[in-house]
Amino acid sequence: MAKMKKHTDDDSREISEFFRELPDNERMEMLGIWNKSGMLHREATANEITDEETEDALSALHNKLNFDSQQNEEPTTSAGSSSKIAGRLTYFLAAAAVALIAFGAWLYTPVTITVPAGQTLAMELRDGSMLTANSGTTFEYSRLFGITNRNISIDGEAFFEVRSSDVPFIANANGSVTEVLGTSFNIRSWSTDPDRETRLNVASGRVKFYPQSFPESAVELTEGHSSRISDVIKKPADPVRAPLSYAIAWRDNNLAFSVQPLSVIFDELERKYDVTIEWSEPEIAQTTLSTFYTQPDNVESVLADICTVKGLTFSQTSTGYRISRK
Amino acid sequence: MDQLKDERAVELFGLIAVSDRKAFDEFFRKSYATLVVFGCRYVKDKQTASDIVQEAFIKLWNNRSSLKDVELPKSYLYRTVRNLSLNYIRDNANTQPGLELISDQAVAAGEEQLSWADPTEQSDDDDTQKRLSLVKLWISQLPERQREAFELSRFEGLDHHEIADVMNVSARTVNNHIVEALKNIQKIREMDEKKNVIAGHG
Repeated sequence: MAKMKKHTDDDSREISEFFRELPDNERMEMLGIWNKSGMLHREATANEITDEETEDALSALHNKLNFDSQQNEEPTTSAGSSSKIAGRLTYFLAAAAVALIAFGAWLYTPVTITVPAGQTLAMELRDGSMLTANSGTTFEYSRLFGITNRNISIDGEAFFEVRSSDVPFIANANGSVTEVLGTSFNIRSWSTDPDRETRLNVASGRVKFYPQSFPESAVELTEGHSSRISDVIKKPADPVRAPLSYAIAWRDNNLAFSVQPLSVIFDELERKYDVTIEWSEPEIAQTTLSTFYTQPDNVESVLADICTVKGLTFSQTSTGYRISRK
Repeated sequence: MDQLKDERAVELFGLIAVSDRKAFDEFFRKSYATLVVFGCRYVKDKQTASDIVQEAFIKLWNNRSSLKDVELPKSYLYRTVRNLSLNYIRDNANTQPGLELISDQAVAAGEEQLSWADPTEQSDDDDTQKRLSLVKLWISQLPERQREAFELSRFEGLDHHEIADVMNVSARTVNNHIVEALKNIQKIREMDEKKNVIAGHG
């Protein structure tokens, strides 16, 4: 928080300059408006919505979220819910069987997490491995993850730092399988990609990589190497040395593309900035581009650059942008 | 209603991320009124704004597992309410009233020469109300983006970093919007004063 306040002081410089440049009496008037506008609004807000209205809205919200009926709840972590079940077992023997069946069924429903567009997610898995997922990524794992297995499915892009263990850590992504014991690697595998390509970059350790349907074709990758599988190439490509910095640029909020069609780049921008991007002719999306952006401020500056390079122009729509030829 | 402090907002987000319903309720109670008033400025209707704020909290709860990395919890909700409101306006474009009602009080206040540089702060309630409606009138005349940035800064008390997050623009753009808004308010005031002078002599 302290960091953010500092940021504000720097940012407000222009506003203080505006006030400083005004003639004395005008400055007092404008500062008065500036200060009072904040104060007056807070009083008005308190008068417009009563506590009673807030409570009514909260109970309406509880109904919508089914907070009052426990069994409808889908917990994200197992801890809270299993202790609830334990409590019921003590008090209602008859309910025990039902609870056990429910618990069994619940155990076999996988946990699914989707990262909202415009955000990234870092989380620790139960086995101690770390996962960082890019915007729009969906992953799924069994509730027994870290107990009987270490299997995880992913559609999207994620960086894994796998804790060493005798149980293999297996990441499934659009028909590809990445199998490791303890290492770190980046998987990029969007089901929306034209060729459903899965690209694997290894940051440390040794990784086995193969298509689900053809495990015999497995290749082994070591630090600094990359391979890929797609609908077009069914066997994993021979591992090549590839700079890791490009593959994991997204983790530092950078954008990096090496000879990618604009459709892939637009997809990424849509997820990263939570906007829709459409284009007037299909040919536009097929042209390719290589680019690296360091922490772009907003989607418009990126689009402006792409359009300049490719002789395109963009306009704003109600939900995002439309790209057309100049 | 007490305002939600930044530190508390971060704490609550951490608790909501691990499915703490009490934290969820506290966050709702502390931010509902401000968010509804904020939403009203887009959709112009309290009931619609209330529905939108509830929907924003449903999204918050459903996405709770990813809240741990949200750096700016307050702007997260403002952003959701803003996006939902803009969607609502888009989908209900033909049912939107074209005219905004300007209160009589604001019009009357515009005809008086109220001083804002009032260091004694001894204005009575009536004067305060007049000022409130007048400043609202001025702000309502600003271009859309400038109005949003100005209101988020002055009304909602967000810092520029947070406003940038809500409006999906850079902090620099936020600055520019606010400075332009101030310049425009200054112009509108000058025009009002001239009108008053003409009216006074005529």
